[in-house]
Amino acid sequence: MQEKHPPLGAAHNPGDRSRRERLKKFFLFLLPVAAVLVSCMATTRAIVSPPQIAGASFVGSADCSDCHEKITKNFSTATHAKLHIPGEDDTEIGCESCHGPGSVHTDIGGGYNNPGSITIVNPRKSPEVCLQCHLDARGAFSLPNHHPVMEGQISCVDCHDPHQGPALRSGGTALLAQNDVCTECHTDQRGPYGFEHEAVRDGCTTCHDPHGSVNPQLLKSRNANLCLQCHFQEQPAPGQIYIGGQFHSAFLSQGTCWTAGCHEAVHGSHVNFSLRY
Amino acid sequence: MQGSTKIPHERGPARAESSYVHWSRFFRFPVSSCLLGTPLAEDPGTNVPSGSIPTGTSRLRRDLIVTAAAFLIAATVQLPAQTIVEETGDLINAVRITGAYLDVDGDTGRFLDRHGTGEPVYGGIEDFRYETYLGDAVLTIEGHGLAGQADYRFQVELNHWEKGYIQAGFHQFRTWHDGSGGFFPPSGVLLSEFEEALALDRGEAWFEGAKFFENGAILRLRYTHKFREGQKDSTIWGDSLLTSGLGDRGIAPALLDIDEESDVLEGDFEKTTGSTDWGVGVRYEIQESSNARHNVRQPGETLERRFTQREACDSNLFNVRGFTHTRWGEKVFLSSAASYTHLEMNFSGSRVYGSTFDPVFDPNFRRQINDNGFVDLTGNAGMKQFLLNLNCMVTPFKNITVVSAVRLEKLDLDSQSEFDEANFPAFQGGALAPSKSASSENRLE
Repeated sequence: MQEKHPPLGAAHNPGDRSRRERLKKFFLFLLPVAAVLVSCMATTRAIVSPPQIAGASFVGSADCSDCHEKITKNFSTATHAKLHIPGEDDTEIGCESCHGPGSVHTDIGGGYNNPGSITIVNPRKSPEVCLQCHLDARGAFSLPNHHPVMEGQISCVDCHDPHQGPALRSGGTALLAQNDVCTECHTDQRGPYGFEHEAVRDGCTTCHDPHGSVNPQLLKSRNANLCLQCHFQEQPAPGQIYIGGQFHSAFLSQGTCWTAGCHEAVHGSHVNFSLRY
Repeated sequence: MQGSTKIPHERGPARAESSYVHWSRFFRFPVSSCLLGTPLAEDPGTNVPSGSIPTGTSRLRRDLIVTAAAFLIAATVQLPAQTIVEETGDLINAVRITGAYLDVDGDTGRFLDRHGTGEPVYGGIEDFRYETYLGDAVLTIEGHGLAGQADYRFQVELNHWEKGYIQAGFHQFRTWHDGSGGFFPPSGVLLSEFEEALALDRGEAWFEGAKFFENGAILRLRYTHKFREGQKDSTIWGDSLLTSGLGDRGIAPALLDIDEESDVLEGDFEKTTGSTDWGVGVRYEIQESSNARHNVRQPGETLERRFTQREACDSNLFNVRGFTHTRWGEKVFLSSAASYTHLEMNFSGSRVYGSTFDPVFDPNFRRQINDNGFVDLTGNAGMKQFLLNLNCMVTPFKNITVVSAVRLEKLDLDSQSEFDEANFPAFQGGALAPSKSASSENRLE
């Protein structure tokens, strides 16, 4: 009796079968993913909206001034004061953009007259209100290294003042004061040092991303490129790199500029001009 | 900190896998029926899932059991569907109880650092708030306490609309850090020296009071005690030649040992005169720190050595300041500020190489070139800053703002230090190099 053999190359090979199975699963997985991606790209509406409070409507910032004059007086200087909802019913809702619609709050005469009631949103309690617009900060706080804002340990207003000015405590005539926000907590980096690192005068943000970074210590760069953004490197000949007039070719491959034994005192030194230690 | 070096580890780059189960429930209670000190929970029968699993259970099976148990509990107790802030008109006097179980497989320090969470089990009161009238004033007590996270906050405030307020509180939280150091893929070397998961606690306790005067003036006083204590990683890594012949690489881990405290006393007075708001303030701060960095160089090699750089500082800061805000109509806003700050700091320290961390200086200990060090560092640094700021903001048209500003600043910095240099090869004769001093003076105007 003649045995029936499958033709050479037929799909009876177990390996081929499992491959088809894997392909099938892959496409089944790909289909919903593609649907989600397409729906995201096809969305054109604004996805940012002020926080909502059930039963409350917007009353405008003028009503807030009746009781919170000390805050609202200078609010016109704030970037946030320009927030409004465009349209026929255009109301200047600077306060309510972050604190939610205030009709219930104003109707009962504020939280003081009704202890134990929630009639207004307090962004200090949660960064979600701020991050609804500041999506870049939301992304930064999701990076592997970040200030513990999403964890609720510090809040946006610990570093920013949303009620007056540009909310960023730096730039213009306040440039030299921006580090004060950082050294309020990071006192050990405040100095003064006998031999300072001039980059600190330009601000902590010269080297650190305060919201978050893929690099440890919130560094903007994990390697020597962090330092080379200011420190000029000369290449008088191929393979020869001089930094600060010193031959550095062999050192650059060993790690960061602040590797042990090199320039460890990155914030400043009490003993060494080259910030070695 | 572990005392011995374990190298090399034949494993891949740091990674972590985890099982995470979180459970929480929200209880509300009316003002009238609540007495502090009595149980607030409406349903005391619910329990936080525990991470205790019988020994010998496989990891997969254990994770499945814990996950299933959490789903069962969650389905039973009806988790709240909305957040607190979305509820309106309801009493917010409430307590939220929470618990979590965490099982990390891999680099524990990296996982805890990234997610800001403790392990393996933590829980407690996630949020507590109680508000009620106390005479004409409103008493507010709020806080949270999560054991296992070292995350505690307690604040009590008595606020009178017309007279002022007093408040006191305490806040502490923990951050985790990865003590693993670097990884060199070509040789697969990951050098271990310290605990994988390092913890650093930061916190403050404060007392604040304010008096509201009938003429609108406000006097505010605040005392704050801050602290930071624990260990974290440093990127000032040591070098290693365990690189399969590819040369020196800085991948050996380093550790920061941090102990900082500061006391801050602040006072502010604000008043409105005509169209001008003005205020004066004073701040006095005392800070003490004793920090150290531990490094290991060429661990596991013939020239293995460790060093500790230790610096202690105590400083006093005094600041007095004033400001004015004046409005001329709707379109012109003038502001000015003046400030004087005086900072004095004394410091001491050392940087010594040896076979262990915090070694006693031994001039005969083997070292290499660039193994620099110093002992008996003493010195002081000071800063004086005078500052004057004038700003004029004009808004001629809607959405157009012109700001003119002038800042006058005089900054004087000076520093003196003395230390015995212990650099290679100066110590080779068996004695320290002669005392060396450094001083600097900077002026910015």
